[in-house]
Amino acid sequence: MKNAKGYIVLLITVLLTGGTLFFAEGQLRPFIEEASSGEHQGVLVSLFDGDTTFTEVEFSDETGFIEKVFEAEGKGYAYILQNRGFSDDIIFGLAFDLDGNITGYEIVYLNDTQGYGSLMGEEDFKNSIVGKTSIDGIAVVSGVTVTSKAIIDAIDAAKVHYNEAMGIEDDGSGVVEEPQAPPLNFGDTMAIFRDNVSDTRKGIILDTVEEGGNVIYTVEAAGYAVIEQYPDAKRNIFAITIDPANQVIVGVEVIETNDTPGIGDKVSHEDFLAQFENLSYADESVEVDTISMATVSSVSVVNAVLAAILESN
Amino acid sequence: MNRLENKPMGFFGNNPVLGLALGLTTALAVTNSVTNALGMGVLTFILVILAAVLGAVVKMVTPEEMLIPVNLVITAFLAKLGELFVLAFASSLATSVGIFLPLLAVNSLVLYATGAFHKEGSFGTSIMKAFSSGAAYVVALLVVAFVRELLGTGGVNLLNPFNGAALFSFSVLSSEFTLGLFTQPMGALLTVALVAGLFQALSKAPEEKGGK
Repeated sequence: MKNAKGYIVLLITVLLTGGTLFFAEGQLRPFIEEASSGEHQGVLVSLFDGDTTFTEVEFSDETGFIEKVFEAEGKGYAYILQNRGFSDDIIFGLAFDLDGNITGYEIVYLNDTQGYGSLMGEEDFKNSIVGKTSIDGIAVVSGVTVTSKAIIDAIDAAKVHYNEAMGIEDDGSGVVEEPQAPPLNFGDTMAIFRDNVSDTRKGIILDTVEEGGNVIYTVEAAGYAVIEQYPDAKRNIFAITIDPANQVIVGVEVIETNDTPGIGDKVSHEDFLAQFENLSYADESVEVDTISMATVSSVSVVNAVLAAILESN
Repeated sequence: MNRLENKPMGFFGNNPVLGLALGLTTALAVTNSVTNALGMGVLTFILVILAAVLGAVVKMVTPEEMLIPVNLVITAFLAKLGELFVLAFASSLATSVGIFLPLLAVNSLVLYATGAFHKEGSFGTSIMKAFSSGAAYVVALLVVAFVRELLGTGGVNLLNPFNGAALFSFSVLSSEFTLGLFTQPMGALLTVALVAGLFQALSKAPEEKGGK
């Protein structure tokens, strides 16, 4: 009998608390929804120019990447999107105008690796997204594949919802991009002329071709894979064009990189190679910037250039 | 539970977080900033008082062997109610503390405050115990958070945890002297241990001198 009383009290407690919660949730739901839309207000207003009124709308999404959808009065649709990045969830806002153009991309939360995943929150990537249409393809960024794919998958989910809402048929006629190279971060500065280059790292001249007043040297130099003695490691190979009469490096071309894909092959980036174009080496203190996180591969290019200069002398 | 019954909670001695490790998970997680600590501290304090009131009421009609299950239901109910109110009226706090808001349902301090473990206490005693333990919890959270934020970021930036408005801030360490470790979980454990040691030292009654 004593036990029965206890169970009855427990049952009554469960019913009373459950009922109270049911009632409280019903009463508080409008306030919670209002607060929830206000939570992302800062991001939403940055997605469109000028004052915009946002109304949260119901939606269905099989991917689970769409967290919230807002109708921007007279301007289009805004989305709060979420997907798992490399080390953490990524939350960002995206907006389409009424013509199907992406007008805004703003990161709410991004905690992926600094210098890699974090690049997806920077202006270069933002500029590559804004202006595209709801039927254009967006390519992943090589070297930042996991983070960029997570963002692009979420954008694709928003595109599907937007196209359905606006009655746009994605017939595949949109622009499809090649994978983008990630923006480059430069690191330490390095002098081209150095006395302390070890025999292992020195550039080796493979071929010499004279072309007008210029000489094109094909040079191989040890990169990260060779120095770290990876199995079957091969040296990187570059074509260095020198104007010996004027003591100018005309240009550097990467023929073959054999270092870590996505990291060492950044030496092919045009911003890095542009440093060597028409660079005078008359003054032997001349320096170039190495690539952050790809220093050893960068140095292999510098060593190849040095070998070509010494050969031309 | 002899220890809880025999040694009432206090600010320094038997502090709920630093001495008895009640509500420790939440305390470790939300003390990454003074703002979060204040918000969760105040919320927990309110829940502890409500738990004491409801716990004292049900104790009058509940057989002793059913006290813990009934009080567990009350704890879960209060935590969910608290979560709803925070989501409705303090969304910035809900965003800051994330999963640790619904996890109040397993905060052992709230369950303790229902009186599940001190069956003999009167209504007034339960309320007084809840008040002192809740206040001690808030103080512990604030001290730990202050140390962590100061060492981890070089200063303290206090916002109103319920609406995000800036209250005050100061900075005493330049960025090269800050220790990012203290903003991480490892720093939380280290700080709790150090502050617990300090509180314990402050609470120690002078040893009796003399002898046989």
